[in-house]
Amino acid sequence: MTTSRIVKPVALAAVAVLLALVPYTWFPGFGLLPDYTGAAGSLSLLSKVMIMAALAVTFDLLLGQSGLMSFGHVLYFGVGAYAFAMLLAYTSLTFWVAAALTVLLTAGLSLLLSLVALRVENIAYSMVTLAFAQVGAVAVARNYFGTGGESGLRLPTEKIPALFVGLQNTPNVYWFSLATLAVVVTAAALVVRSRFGLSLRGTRDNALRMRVLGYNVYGLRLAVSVVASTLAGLCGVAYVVTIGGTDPDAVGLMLALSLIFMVVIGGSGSLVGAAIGGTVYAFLDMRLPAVGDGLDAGSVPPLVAHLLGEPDLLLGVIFLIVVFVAPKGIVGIAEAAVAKVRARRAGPLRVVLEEDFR
Amino acid sequence: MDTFFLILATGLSVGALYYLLASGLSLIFGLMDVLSFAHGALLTFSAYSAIMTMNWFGAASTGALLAAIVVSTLVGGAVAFLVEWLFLRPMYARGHLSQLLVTMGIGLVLIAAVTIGFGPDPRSMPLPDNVSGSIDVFGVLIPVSALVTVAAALLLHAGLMAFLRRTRHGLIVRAGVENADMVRGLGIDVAKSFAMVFTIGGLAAGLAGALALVYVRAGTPHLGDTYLIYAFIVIVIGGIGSLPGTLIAAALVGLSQQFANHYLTGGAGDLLVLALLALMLLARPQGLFGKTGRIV
Repeated sequence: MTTSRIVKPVALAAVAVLLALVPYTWFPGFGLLPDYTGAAGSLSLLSKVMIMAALAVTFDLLLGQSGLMSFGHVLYFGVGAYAFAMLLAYTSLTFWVAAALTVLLTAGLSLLLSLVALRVENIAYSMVTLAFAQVGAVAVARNYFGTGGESGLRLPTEKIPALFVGLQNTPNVYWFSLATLAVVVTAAALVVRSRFGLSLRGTRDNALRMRVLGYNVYGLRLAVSVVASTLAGLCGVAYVVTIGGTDPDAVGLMLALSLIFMVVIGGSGSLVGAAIGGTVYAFLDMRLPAVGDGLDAGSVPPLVAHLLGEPDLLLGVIFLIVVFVAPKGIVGIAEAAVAKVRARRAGPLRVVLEEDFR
Repeated sequence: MDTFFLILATGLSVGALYYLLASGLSLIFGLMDVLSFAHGALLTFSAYSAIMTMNWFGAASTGALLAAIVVSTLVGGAVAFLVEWLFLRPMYARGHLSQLLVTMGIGLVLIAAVTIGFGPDPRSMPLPDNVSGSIDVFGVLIPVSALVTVAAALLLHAGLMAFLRRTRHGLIVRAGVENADMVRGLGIDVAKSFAMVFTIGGLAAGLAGALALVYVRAGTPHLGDTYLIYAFIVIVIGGIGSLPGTLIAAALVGLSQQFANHYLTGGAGDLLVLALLALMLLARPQGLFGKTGRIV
């Protein structure tokens, strides 16, 4: 346990450094990426993947750590994206001021809505959060407050700092997404490792017992909701920077369900698992159709290309397999494998006798 | 005044569709605490079978429409039966979250299958003239489709109530909704009732699929999504496990949605319904007819 408190951050930092070096590399993409690793197309795809991974990590704070099955977490991602884009498009605020204000706004909104939603528990909580997220989706789809409706909102180019504009600056956008991921993972890890995180897992496993022990379960949940939502708002800002605007997919039930898929595929209750799940999901979602298009017409049966073109089918099947066969997700599989290797290395169990201590 | 009655009719008609989906969901949730996300996809899947039936008949006659409605209902029931048997039953020992996740996965797969088979664009539903028109009821023109959906919902409600009140299976379901553990303790196999209730829910979703097409006249792969969300809202407002509550809540939600959308602004109805839900959960978390402590 004590070693993992040091090993894990070091390993994560190493991964971050490796990811930061990707724009300088020129490896082939092997179908996983649209181009060589350092090319603009690949970096832009990787930026989106990292944002999805970060968003999955924020959701794990709710679902995995606190047992809060929120269907409304996407609302804060969407509000982060839309508030930021709208502040830039309709006011004279500068980029960084708008970003800071957006994150504050998300925090405030989350505090207000969570005060209400957390008054109920279990499925009722899921329903209220779903309803709140639906309000956001309706507002976006119907083009209320100038959200741009179905077509989304483009950012005015002159409002974006020059370092994020243009094809040659894609590495900067990539690093911005990586920085967002790093901030989110660090913040979430601090929460998970603190007494606060421990209490959260307590409320997840047995809320009644925590109440009896004198913990303020409502307050704990409120706090984690605000933290997770604020981080999701940050992800929304990074999303806008990456795609140069917003699209209505950023709010809505589909993304809410996708978030659950990500956390479950990766391994609910583990931040690294959530990040892995988000990465796997985003890759499958974005790359399967492209792989289907790239295949020669004739070389594979049309049905295969068809199946790849509709990633939801494969995603759904993978998801069902994970739920049935490996309910603890990718991280659970890895941990089981490690435990097996360790058990083999340790040799057969031996009964400890009293003589051993003489 | 004509507009008022027209909106009244469409509101009740939308409410009827919500009820068709919500009644099954409410019983399923009441009995086994499973919130099925697959029912929206079931609605869509069966709706496409209705379109296929209509196209197979060629001419849009009333007989063909009746056949399409029957096919759609049966497809919904059959798929629900298979889903419960193959995917949900192995999950009973694993807790509610796994069951919820399974229904989500099934929903995703079903919708993707529809998209692969029929493409993402809307497919129109041919309707016979006597159904797509309106008829004169006491001097007010009412769309026939509205009458059909409302009649179907009322018939289903009457049927379900008779089943629950008059049959032995219904008795077990009612007792199971009240306290599933106690029924199990008495040596009755609640899982068997659950399979039945899940299939009934599927039949109702299939019926809703065909009737939704009669109402909106075209199917898309995401036809069921919106209905599912509002069905969830309806069961929470009505009180989970209470069919009369679900019926009243469905009418309430359908009417407030349509009236606000027409007399205020487009989309206002959706927001009003969501506000209703939030208020209901804060003031009376158990819903209109639910019992305290059942869902919280």
